[in-house]
Amino acid sequence: MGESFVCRTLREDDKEAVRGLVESSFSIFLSGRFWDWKYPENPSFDQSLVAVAEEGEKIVGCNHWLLRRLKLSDSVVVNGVLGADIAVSPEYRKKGVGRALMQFLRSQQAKRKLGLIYMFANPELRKRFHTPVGGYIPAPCGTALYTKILNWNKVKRNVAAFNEKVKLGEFGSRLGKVDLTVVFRVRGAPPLCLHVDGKGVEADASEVRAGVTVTSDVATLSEIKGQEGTRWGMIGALLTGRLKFRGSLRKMFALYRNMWVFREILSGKIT
Amino acid sequence: MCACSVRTFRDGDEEGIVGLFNEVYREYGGFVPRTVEYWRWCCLKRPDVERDGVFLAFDGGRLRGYLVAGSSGNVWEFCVADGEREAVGALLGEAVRYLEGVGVSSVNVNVPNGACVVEGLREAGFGEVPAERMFVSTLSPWMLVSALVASKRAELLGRFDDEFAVRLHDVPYGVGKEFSVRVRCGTVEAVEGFSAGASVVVEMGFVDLLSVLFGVSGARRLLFAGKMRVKPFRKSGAFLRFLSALRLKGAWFFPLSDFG
Repeated sequence: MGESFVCRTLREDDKEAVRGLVESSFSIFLSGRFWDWKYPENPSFDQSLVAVAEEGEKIVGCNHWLLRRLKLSDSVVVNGVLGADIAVSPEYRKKGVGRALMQFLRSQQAKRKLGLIYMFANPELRKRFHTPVGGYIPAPCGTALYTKILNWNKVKRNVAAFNEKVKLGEFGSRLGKVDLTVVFRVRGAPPLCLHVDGKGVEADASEVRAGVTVTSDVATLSEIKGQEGTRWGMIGALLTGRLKFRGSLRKMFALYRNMWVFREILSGKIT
Repeated sequence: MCACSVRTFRDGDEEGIVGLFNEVYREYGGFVPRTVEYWRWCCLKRPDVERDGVFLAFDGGRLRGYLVAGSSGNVWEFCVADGEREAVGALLGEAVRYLEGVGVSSVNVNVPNGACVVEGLREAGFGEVPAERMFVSTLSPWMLVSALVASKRAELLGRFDDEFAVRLHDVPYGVGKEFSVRVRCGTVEAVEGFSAGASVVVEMGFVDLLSVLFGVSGARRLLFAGKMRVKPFRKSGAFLRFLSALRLKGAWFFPLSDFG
């Protein structure tokens, strides 16, 4: 295993394996019919723009490009490609498969003289992989993403995972004698009530008499989550009034001491 | 009282939708110009989109906005003609009701920064969260420059009488290193390769060239930092003006439907 893979373009009989590899790598996004819709059913799909890495008979990696006409300004439209999903089998990661696939497609498509290649990526991965290999730079930033929370089902899933860890004794006696109810009132979302005691956490959306009430909005919560590990996001939000705490001094102190519980629950996906 | 009416998608709506999208976002870069075929694929046939999740707002029979909501909670496209605040509220209201019924946890909408719909989103309880970033590069600097030069032909002819030969370093795998641009005697032409008869010779980094063309950083700074070499040096001003003319200045926006 290792450097013995070869790169080539996609063949009809690879589709099943490639679909499986992509779905297992991006299980949240690519379920069911997604791969078929995105690639073979795409009007601009070109099989020669999909590369696979093969070791023996096994497909261990794939890289998909999609032909696109992209508008650069009010008067400039260029032919380009969207560098879409790159997937590599877990046991073949960090062995240069992704780089080899990217270089293979670049060498194969050099004759097309495509004016633009673009992609969407996590900024960390872009710095580590895409810029050194493909020379990518951030596109002019002009898009804003807005979110509205309809329910707290994802937080409830985080609570269930937290309670599992409590049952397994992962937190030892850290929960101790805590008995605290915190209600989160996030603008535009239903209230979220988290009750913490020695047995774990209970979450519901009912209005109860809370020890502490936290009032904020999605943007502020997301900003605080994005600065995890530092307290500056929270301090800044408190000072500017975008985050408010209400409750008795005793309960506030209890919240401060048990902040790790809320950090543990809210650091996962909440929207 | 709301003058606009909202209904779900019907066959034959595609032309109006595509026309509205291209009109509303005509000044932006960063997206795929819509055709009926592309829109049907990227919205209507998307696995998480049902026809009941595509809402259109009309004012007296005129399409004023539309919204495509997927059962994943993503609003793949949201487009409203300028100043149609009633349509914004009506479409968002329908989409949120639909998505609540589907059982999603949250709704995501992306829009251009500062667009007229932002106020409507805030009123409906939406908050801004960090967005995915788009990254760009080129497989052929010559083709990219060629497209930019062609769009500025008249402006370049009036301002320059030079031939620029550019050699790039730190070029990614498989990308051409050299191109030349001739702006002379009524001709504006970009060619691949290094022109021997060029009046201005430039050496610069691949990423630096992209950053300047996409308006992410300034060419003047590169020159002063020694990252760009122009020979003869007295022609530096002309090359800086040339890059400035090519530089993309408009705002960029990508709808979620172009993302995946």
